[in-house]
Amino acid sequence: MIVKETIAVIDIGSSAIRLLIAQGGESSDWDLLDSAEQPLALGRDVFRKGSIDRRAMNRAVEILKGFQELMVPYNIDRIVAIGTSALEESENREMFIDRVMLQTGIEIRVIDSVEANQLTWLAVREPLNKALTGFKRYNSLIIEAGAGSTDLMILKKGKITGSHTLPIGTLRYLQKLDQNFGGNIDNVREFFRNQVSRTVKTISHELRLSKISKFVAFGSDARLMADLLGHPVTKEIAVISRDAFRDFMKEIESLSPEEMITRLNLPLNEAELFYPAMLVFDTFVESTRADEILVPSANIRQGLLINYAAGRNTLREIFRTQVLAGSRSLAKRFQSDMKHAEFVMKQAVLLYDSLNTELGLMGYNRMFLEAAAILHDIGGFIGVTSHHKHSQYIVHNSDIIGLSASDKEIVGHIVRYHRRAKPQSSHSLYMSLNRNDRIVVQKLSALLRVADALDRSHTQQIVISDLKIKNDRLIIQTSYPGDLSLEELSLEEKGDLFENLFGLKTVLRFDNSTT
Amino acid sequence: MKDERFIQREISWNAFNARVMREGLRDDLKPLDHLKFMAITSSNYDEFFMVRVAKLMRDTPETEGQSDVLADLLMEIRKVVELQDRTVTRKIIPTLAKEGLVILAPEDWGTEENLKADHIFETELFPLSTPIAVRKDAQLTDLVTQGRIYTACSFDDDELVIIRLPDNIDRFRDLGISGDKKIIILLEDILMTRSNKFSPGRKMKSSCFFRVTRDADMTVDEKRDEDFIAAMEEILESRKSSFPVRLETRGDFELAGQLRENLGLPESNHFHLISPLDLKAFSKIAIMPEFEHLRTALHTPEAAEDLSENDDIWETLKDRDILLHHPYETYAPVIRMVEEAAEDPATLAIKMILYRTSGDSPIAGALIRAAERGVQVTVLVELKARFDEGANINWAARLEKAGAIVIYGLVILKVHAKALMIVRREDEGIRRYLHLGTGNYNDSTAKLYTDLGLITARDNYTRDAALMFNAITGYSSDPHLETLFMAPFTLRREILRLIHREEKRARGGEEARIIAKMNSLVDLEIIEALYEASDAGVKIDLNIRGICCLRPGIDGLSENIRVISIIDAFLEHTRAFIFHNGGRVEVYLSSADWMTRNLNRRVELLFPIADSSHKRRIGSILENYFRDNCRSWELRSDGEWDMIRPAKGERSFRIQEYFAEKAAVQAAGRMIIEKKTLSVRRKPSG
Repeated sequence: MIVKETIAVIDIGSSAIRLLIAQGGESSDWDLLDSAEQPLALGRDVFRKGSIDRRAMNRAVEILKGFQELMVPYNIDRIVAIGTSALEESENREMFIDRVMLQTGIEIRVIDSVEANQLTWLAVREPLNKALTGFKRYNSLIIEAGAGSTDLMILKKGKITGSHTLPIGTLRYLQKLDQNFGGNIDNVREFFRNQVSRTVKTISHELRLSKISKFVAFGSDARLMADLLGHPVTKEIAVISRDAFRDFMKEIESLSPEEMITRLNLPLNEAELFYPAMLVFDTFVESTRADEILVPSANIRQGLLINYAAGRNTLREIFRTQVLAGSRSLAKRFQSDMKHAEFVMKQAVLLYDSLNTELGLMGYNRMFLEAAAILHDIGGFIGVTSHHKHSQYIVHNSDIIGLSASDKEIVGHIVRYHRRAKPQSSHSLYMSLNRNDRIVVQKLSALLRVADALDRSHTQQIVISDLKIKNDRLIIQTSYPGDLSLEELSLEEKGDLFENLFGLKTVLRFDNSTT
Repeated sequence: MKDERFIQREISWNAFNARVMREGLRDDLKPLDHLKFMAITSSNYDEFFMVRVAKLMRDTPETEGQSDVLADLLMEIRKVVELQDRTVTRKIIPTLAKEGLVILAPEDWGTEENLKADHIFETELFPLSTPIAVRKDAQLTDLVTQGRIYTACSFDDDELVIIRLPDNIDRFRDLGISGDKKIIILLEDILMTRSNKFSPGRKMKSSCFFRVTRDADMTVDEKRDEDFIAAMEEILESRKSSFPVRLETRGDFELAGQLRENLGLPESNHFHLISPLDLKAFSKIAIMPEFEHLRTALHTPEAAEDLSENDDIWETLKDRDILLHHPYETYAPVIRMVEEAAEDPATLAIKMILYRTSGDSPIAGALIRAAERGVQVTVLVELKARFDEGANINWAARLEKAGAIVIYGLVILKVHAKALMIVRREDEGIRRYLHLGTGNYNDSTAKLYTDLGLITARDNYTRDAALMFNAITGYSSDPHLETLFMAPFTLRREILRLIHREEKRARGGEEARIIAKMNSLVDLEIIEALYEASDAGVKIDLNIRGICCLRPGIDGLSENIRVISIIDAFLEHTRAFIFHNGGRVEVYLSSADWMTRNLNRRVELLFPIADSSHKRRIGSILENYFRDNCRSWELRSDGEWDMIRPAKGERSFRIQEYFAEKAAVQAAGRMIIEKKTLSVRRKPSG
């Protein structure tokens, strides 16, 4: 008998709360058993007032209780609840999460736009390759016109080279309609059109939109558009020709949301946001050279959520290459000593792999160490004296593809502690991390300090040839026959954290056996 | 404004009533069959007046008088009703008397009958009746209840007294067998002949029976009413006092006229009859057990072709779908599904829509048992099922008490889809089983209505059904269905798409064909699409039992469209559609007629048939209907219906008989096959 697991994924978005129930497990694919969706315009509150009001909270709890009733017969093994943009931006999200936890027992995890983008990419990658031979050869744009923001991903020959979140949101637009234009739809559409095209103009050059030949529109508005205009290429991808889309834009230009409901058969709760979303697509499409719009089906989003719930850590591993590439390009931009950076990374990883059992860390943490090793000296661009602090600041404020905001916090802290002061409770920023993350930061910065110490001279000569644990000492052997005193001194100074954590004193030794 | 391209809807509905009545006059029927058809006709007209005539009257402001449609309609109705009235009195009742079933009129009562009548009056009628004196300025409207029979007596001093016939005691009084005859007298005759006893000492001038039909098409203000059940009960109350739409009388004509004037009804809405009022109730006589020889025996359902009694339903469904053709095939598999699920520990949940379900049905019992056992039972009870609201409310309460989640319908939309889903935890994981049908979950009507049902465990069906259930039970808002089509969201669009696709193929020179069977075809958008398809050369065969607003056979409009209607012993109820699709035939079943209200204001389902043998089977069912030359009618382009009868030398073919025989042969054949497998008993070894 195959034991299948049943999981439930709850997705709390800007305009709706959705539920997916799936069964499956390691030995089989995930099958969707049931799903439900209730409209709830959390985004409307958040993008207008910054927080979620009491009524919306009550309604959310009510919806989730309904979902729980629906889940009862399935004997759910695991419930994963995630909140996206509206929740992420809400000032009182902790209160919201707490209310939901207290009243339903459901624990919500907020994922940021970077992580959401990654999920999207993961989900559409295969279907796009299947639908379009040679998709990987093109430059493409994946765009989702969301309620709070527009998310973009730029792909150069199949690899993500940029991921951006623009402050253009369909719900934000709606707010304008209510506040500034007293409901005059033509004026507000004109305003929004100008706003979008201005934004697109500013970034068009940087993102080299004119080089984009494949345009992928994601999200519920895109799916509605595909229902109306699209032709299926595969089960998962529909295509709309640019001409058909142009005609369609002309046709709907003067339609009110009410007319869209009757003429286009749009669902009530989506009609208001439909036109602004189309406008976003239109503006972007016009600045690319794409001759068609590709739209992934609803199943894809479902698959994505289920896979995410089933194992979110795999996500990070998949993005390891992207993270490394992103880190390298950032380091180069800040004129780091790349040879040193690569060397430190190699040695740090070697330490990580050899001390696997002592570290007791999940596999994906290795990626944080890699990124931190590459980035540890970038702060030198600003000033040498406190360059570890500058490094943290730069990491914190840069986009690194594949790293979510919370991931960047971790990497930033490892970088911060690669020299000088050890992590301590008087460091308020450090204390704001959760306990698990603090442990990760401690362990990984300890490794980074050791690896960095070994290349104090920036000459990449002290190559580790072997690592041994003897009594309470970690013996680092190297075949370098020269003078080791600088590195030994440095190790003395920077090995303290390592010693505290693992109870091992680091000792550097010349190893003549290999020569 | 009259659009000649369409047949007026009420006129077409009346034509259906007329067809039913005409079928009831056939010589090859037995006397109680005749009576049954008259009862059905009477029941049809009750609903027709309560709903459609009422609506037409409401739509026409009093100042403008009657609209042309209403006037035409009432004239047409009168023709049918008069024929019915004469037939019952002059033909059916005398024939029954000759055959030994005597409904004895008071003027023929002898001493014995009068003595019995006295006794019934003294012991039952007198204590139960309350005569009401109607003062000169009183409004009769305020005093009489819809649909009930009253006796009106006018006295010398012009005072009018009305007495309501009690409806909680038997109307047909069986006085037992005298000789070779069974004598029945009517309760109202006893009341009428003894009504002067309520006013001793006064002289009765004249008397008559009367019955008032009222407007019943009322809607709950669903936004206002928080408590929907209370609101629904209110409607049932108010239905008793809405405006009158018809007066039926029997007896003194002058008195009848006074009643009509008091009610403020025009002559056209007054039917003065010679047969007893409320013939609908005579269906009770039509099914009296002692007179089998006076009626045609109905075919009893056979075992289903797709599932024998010994087959394990769940195992069978892992391999293939099950198609059921009622009433030729038994409804038992559906009941079995629910009953087995109710007892089975593997069952996790049962979801079901109950609409017009009989309260004492085995399904009801099984659902209650399942809920009591802790299975999650979710039931949508449609309180808006016309005229059955009372029964449904009672129902809902019983289920709720057992622990089921009961949903009392949706705001504004009436849920008319028929769906049952059972969720089971099996060794391989969670599996779901689905029944979708064209008929209600009602085991009594399943023996009388023709319907098709599909049981399947296909993932794409069960997934969509789960979404549909989530939507109608309030867990979810947006059912994005892929295999099923749901009104009021996608069903209309899909039908139009299917029709347009045939049209396109025809214009491209391909063979194109549509066969559709339903109860009523009213929706103008769909009719227009059919006209366009016909114009493109699509051959369209429609089998429409009731209302059809489409005008067939008109050059340049509908020359490729043919419309037939089958009126026979079983009520034709199947909704099935076949689209040729360039040879890759697509077959659909549906709960929905192509009527605007069904497509826009109801929750309905349209679902495809996946199994190719089922497609062929339904194809052959639908094709064969057009061979019927015994109980078939064909619609002419002028809106009249021609009775189709075998031409000289042509063999007669009656579709309902054909299906019944086929099912019997099939079942008998399988019995033999099954008997070949002998079960051997042996003593257990060791």
